[in-house]
Amino acid sequence: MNIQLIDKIQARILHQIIKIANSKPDIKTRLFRIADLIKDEFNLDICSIYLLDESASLLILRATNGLPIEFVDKIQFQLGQGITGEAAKYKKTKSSNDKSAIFSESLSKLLSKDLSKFKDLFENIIASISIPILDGESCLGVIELLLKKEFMFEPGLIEFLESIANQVSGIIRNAKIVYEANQSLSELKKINEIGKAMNSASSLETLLNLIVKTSLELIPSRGCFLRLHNRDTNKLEIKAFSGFDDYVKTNPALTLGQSVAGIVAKEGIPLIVHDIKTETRFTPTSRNLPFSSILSVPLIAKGNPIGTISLLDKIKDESFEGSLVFVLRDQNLLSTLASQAAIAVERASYYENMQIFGKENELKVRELSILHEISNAMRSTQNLNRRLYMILTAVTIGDGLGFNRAFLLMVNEKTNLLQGMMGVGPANAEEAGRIWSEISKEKKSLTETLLEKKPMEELARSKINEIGKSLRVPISTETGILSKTVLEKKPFNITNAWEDTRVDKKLLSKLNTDHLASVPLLAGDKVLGVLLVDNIFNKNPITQSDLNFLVMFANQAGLAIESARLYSYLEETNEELKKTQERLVESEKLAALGEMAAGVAHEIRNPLVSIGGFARRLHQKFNSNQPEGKYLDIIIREVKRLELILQDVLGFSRESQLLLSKNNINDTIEDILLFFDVEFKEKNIKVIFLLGKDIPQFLFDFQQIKQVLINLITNSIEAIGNNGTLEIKSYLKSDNNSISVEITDTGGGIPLNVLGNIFNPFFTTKNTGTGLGLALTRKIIEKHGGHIEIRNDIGKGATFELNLPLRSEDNVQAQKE
Amino acid sequence: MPKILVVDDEENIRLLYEIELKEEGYDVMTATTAEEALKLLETYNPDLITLDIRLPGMNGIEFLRKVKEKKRELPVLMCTAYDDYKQDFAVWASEAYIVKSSDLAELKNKIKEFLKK
Repeated sequence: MNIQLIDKIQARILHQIIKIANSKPDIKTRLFRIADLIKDEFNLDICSIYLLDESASLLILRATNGLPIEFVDKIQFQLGQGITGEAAKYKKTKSSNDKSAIFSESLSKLLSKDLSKFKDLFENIIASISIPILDGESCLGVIELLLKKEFMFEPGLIEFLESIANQVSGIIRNAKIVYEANQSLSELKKINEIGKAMNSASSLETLLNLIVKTSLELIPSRGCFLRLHNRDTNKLEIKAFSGFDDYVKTNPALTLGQSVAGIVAKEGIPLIVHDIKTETRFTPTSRNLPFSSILSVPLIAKGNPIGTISLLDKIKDESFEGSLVFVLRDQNLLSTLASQAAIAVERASYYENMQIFGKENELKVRELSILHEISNAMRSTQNLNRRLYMILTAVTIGDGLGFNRAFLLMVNEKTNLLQGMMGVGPANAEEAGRIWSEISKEKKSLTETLLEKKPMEELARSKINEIGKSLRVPISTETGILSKTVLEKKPFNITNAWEDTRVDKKLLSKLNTDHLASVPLLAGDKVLGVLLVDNIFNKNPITQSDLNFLVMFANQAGLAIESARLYSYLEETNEELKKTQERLVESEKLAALGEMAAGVAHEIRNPLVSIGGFARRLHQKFNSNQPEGKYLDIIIREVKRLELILQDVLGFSRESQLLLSKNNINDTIEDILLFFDVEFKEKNIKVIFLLGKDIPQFLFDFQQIKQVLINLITNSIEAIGNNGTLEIKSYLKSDNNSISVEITDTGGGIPLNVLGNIFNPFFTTKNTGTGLGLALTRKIIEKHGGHIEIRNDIGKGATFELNLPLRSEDNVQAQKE
Repeated sequence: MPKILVVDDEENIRLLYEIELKEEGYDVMTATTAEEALKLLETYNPDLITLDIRLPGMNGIEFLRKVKEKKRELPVLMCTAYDDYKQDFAVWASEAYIVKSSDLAELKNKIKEFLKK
């Protein structure tokens, strides 16, 4: 061949190659076409193109003309093996006439096994040339030419082949760029889609699984772990994963800085480890790992690492352009995904927290609104029993706390007993079913049910209430769970009551239950009682949150009970206060009267002395048979009456001291009766004396007791009018410490409408009285430490009974001290 | 004949006492005010005085003190419409405390009692 011809051929071949290089088909097809072209143009037997793999240590057959298609991707040369391997290793064109130099181990193996039928293909090969495909300093592959005849090394031919190899290099480079561009494009598409998917993930769990799945789609690997940093434990925990199930099961959480993910999370930088088993910085913990290569990237939200995504043992994808180990490209790709994922995770966990928080809140709000309703209802009554009933109703109805049965026991501090007060609930399962279905039909609100004026008698008759009332537990450390609730001031939830040593078995058989919860009713620090509940009919387990709610309710119930108690105490106190106030008003009224009366009385007394005195003088001159004498009698008597009234008024208006002296009560009575002698005769009143002879002398104010007797006898005489009997009786009381004086008349008794008022000052039925007589009488008797009683027999008469203590010097002294 | 000085600002009372006590056999002189009575103490030289407490000018209690300063042994019977003065320490110096009444029995009894000595 002459140079010109060679030039011509060369020009044509190059033209062809450029055409192929710029053609549409994928890189594999184009490499095949180049192999075809070279074989035909140079009249070769076999032309093959080998490309170096990712690790740059293996040459793999990618295209050929002359070898069967079955060999593609299978024949491999180690770097430096055979002349093809040497060409790649030394980046120089090599040729050989040594037949053995065209074989590699893999080829020999292939020919001895699967592809033995192609053995004779290599029979007549006597020469080979291998041209490296160079891209600058690095080698991409080798073009291998095999010949069955002696090769004609024409000058310039090798250079020409090398320039073809150059062209091939360009094709491969371009193809890689296009591949990578396409790859990036599809990856970006994927990431974009993931971004959208992540933002619409329904829960954190779904999102994490999506991230794992996507990571594996982007970079096919044998496994993927997604770890999140738990702020409470300060550890990295696997929250989602794919592959290595057994390992995940045993895997403890990583601390920050521990192992690959730990370092990634701590430093916030991605990391690739090709063989973790040999990397000394991770041993010995990594020795038994079921994987060897790791790509780990941090999840960073707002500048803080919140976790990691780790891919384990990359799987080679089908295209030969992809790599077998994790490379920078993978790391960048996963980092891009991670940056999107981190935001989504952060948002999702925030959202999830909000949801949990929201749910908890919703429950709390419901609980609080129930409590609110109950406490409002309870405010409608201050009656302790009704409140207790409301408490138990609230505990047992479905809209309330929804327990099947409830019992209330109160602490009796005097007897140191827990005393059953009430029980509410159905008697048996059938009744339970009936009541609950009725309630659900009625559709009453909680408040309506609580305010229902269910007759307390109905409750009192119920069987459960009977059981409730019969409960009695001494408060001590040995008497079981109810005492414990009081003593320890805390709730108990007993599920297996029969096996629980803390529970008194008698209580269980009485209640006929196998579980119970008991909570203390507290008012401040004081335990008022115990609330006992069970779910004996529907068997719903009593959960911790049920118990929490019950405790919250019990606190409120405790306060309600305490306030009802305080209220009744307040009522009593108020009643007393009212009475005191009435008495105060009365005494103020009296004091005012006293001042006025004293003034008036003194002005009247002097003229009365004159009138009475002169009348008496005149009376001496007329005897009573004469009309003048009778008139004077009237004047004298009336003046005397006026003077007595004055004494009443002045005596009442002034708080005079008792002038105690030893006297005989019978003498006092007789002394007074002389005073009324004339009147008795005139009005034909029979007087009966029944005076006890055994009454000793004792200390009393002679004048004041005389005043009392005068008042009472005057009243009796007025009641009798004309013709009747007055009985005066005195006797020693059976206790030997006091005496009684009874004055009984036949005056028809005291009208009922008057009876309640007769001791009130200024109350009078007479036209002439001051209304002070009986008020003063009672005051004097009470001042003596005694009391006065009326026995009224309407239609017949009345008895006034005075009781006076037998005072002696000794006990007066004692009283003063 | 024992001499009694009646001191009272009420004319009718003075009249009643005078008549009644004269009938009992006493010599009786009356005074309307304490100042007047003080003069009579020397000029009349009574054996007993009945003395009202509320008087115009000098009151009965002041007069009582003056009497007791001059004549310790002279009995003075307080005769008053008020029993409030019973608690007044000053009247303890008197021989008796009588609340006025149309019935003069108590007064007469006390006079008898003190003139015996």
